[in-house]
Order: sequence, then C-alpha cells, then structure tokens
Amino acid sequence: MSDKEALWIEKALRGDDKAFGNLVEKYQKPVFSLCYRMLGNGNDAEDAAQESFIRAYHNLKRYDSNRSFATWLLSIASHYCIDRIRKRRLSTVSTDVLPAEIIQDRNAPIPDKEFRAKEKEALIQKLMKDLKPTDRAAIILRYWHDYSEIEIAETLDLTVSAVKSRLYRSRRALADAWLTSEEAVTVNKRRAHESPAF
Amino acid sequence: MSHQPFETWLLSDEQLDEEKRKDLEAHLNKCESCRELSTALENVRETFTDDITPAPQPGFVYRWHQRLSVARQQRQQRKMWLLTLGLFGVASLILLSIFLLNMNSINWFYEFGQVFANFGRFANRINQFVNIIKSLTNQFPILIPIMIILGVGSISAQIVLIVTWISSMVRLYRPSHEGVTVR
Repeated sequence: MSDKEALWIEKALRGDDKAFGNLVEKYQKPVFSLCYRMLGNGNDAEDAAQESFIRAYHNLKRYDSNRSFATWLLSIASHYCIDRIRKRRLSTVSTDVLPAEIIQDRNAPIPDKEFRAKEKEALIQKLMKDLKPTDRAAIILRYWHDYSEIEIAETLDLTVSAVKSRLYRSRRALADAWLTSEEAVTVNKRRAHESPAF
Repeated sequence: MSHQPFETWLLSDEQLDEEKRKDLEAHLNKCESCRELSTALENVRETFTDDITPAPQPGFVYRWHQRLSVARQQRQQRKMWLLTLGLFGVASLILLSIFLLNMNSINWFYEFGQVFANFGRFANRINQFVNIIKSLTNQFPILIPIMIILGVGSISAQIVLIVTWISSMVRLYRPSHEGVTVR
C-alpha cells in the first residue's frame, strides 16, 4: 500500500468522505469488473460495486493495514456478490445486458471489435453460468485479477486446499461447458480450415 | 486407458517439470479424451484472458458520494428508531414490573371507583375556581383586562412550549447532512 493510500485511509477513518472518494476513484475498475463478472450485467454490477464501497467505508475500522487494501476491497465485493446471487437464486445469468462501458486497452474501439467483444462477453457468461457463486468468484480472481491460490483463499475466507479443490472442480465444469458450447464447434471448424492439409 | 495423473495435472493447472511435461505430451498424443480436455481448457483460458475491462459509467465516485449520503441518513433514522423502541421497551418493562409487583395488593373495583371520584373532585375544584374568578370580576371590574392578559399569555406560553417540543422532536428524527461532501 502506498503512503498516499495510507493517508487517505487515515483521513477517511477521521470522517473525511473526500479522502475515501479518492480510494473509490482508484479501485472502482477492479471492483466493478469483479462485480460485473460475478453478476453478469452492468446495472447489477454498478449497484454491487457501490454497495461494496459503502460497506468498506462503514467497516474501515476493521481493516487490517498489514493486508492489501485491494484484497480487502475485493473480499467485500466478492462476498456481497456471492450473497446476492444466493439470495436471488440466479440459476441463469442474463447475457442480454452488456457492460455499461467497455474500455479498450489498446486502440479506439471499432464496430467489429466491439461486436466481437460483446460476443466474447456473452460466451464468458455462458461458460460460467453453472458455476457455484464461490467457485465463480475463485475463477474470476484467478483469471482476471491474477490472484494466487493463497490470495484467493485470503479474499474468500477459505483454506488454500479448499481453493485448489474449487478451482479444480470449476476448470472441469468450464471445460465441459466449452465442449458442449457452439463456440467449440466454431473454433474447431476454424482450426480445421487454418490447418494445412497433409 | 488410465487418465491419471494426466487429468489431474491438466485440471490443477500446476507448473510441470520437464519429465512430467514429456509424459503428458506423450499421453495427449494417444488419448483423445485428455486431448479434448486440454484443448478445451486452453480455449477457456484464452477466452478469459482478454484485453477488455468492464468499467463503470463516468461519475461513479459522484454517485458513490450520493449513495453514502442516503446510506448515512438511513443509518441515522434506524438508530433513532432503535433508540425510541429501546426507551419504550425499558419504560414498558418498568411499568410491567411495577404492575406485577403490586398486582396482589390491587383492589380493582376500588381503584376504578377512585378514578371517577378523582375526576369528580377535579371538576368540582375547577368549578370553584371559576366562581372565585367570577366574584372577583364582579367586585373589581378592573381585574378583567389583567386576567385576559394572564389567560392569553399562559395559553400562548403553552402553545410555544408544544411547538418547541414538536420542532425539537422533528429535528431529532430528521437525518443530518453533516460531513457529507458531494462533488
């Protein structure tokens, strides 16, 4: 954690909303991204991300400065999303609603690229829709946030062996989902066309 | 054909040493099921590692400040209601305990009669007071304006007290915006 962040936290603990606002500004994207991948649509992700920051603000006294602030925030967001999915008993996740805004890290978006991004997003949600909420959170943290198994365990309040087991099970489910999806057929066809004939 | 330990190696995503990697490659060349699994996992990984990041709409921090303000109001209202309920509960408990402690010594018919008797006595006192005022004003007409002033004054004071009490209660229950910075 940087000195600036430590200062913001200290000020926020004294009731300075603006200081916490700086933290919201800094971490809005990772938190929103996690919520979006968990809940599958922009509106729910916005609501969950906002609520996660509110909870973080109200529980800031409980934050242990020896821990990473990002991990602590993502832990709050993950638990909130897991509870939300469980409460609403979302058996399927809507893939109709797309993210509020897709930021392209490289060049300016072009329509074709945007279309492919939407398709990819729909595929991601389709692959993950049958995962249990906690398994889904573990996969998201592993693949999109590059978290190690230890960090995932810390974020989701699980043991490392439980994380390993959940990731193992989830990979199996994802592979099965891939094999049964239309995308697999498309990719295989594309590869067949690309491969040189022997 | 046994798929172990190759399936476990594929699904656990662990870093394999050279020897294990060669064993796995050899197995994948002859086992279609494990090859399918390996390809599927590779495709899933490729799909998940992308260059796009979902981001919130602009103004996320501003909306957070607004939401914090609302959340703070709700928390304060909840606190006030809990305090009110708590006080009401404590008062009810005290009254109930007093009632239960004295339950055996209460003569219900006597106490009920006493209420009516007290009301009658009070009405009688009021009547006597009104008669005294009437006799005084008959004998000293100069007292009439003084009494009107005193009467209107006391009623006004009571109204002011009631209004002050109501407004202080309203202020107490109304959530404050103190400390909220909205950009």
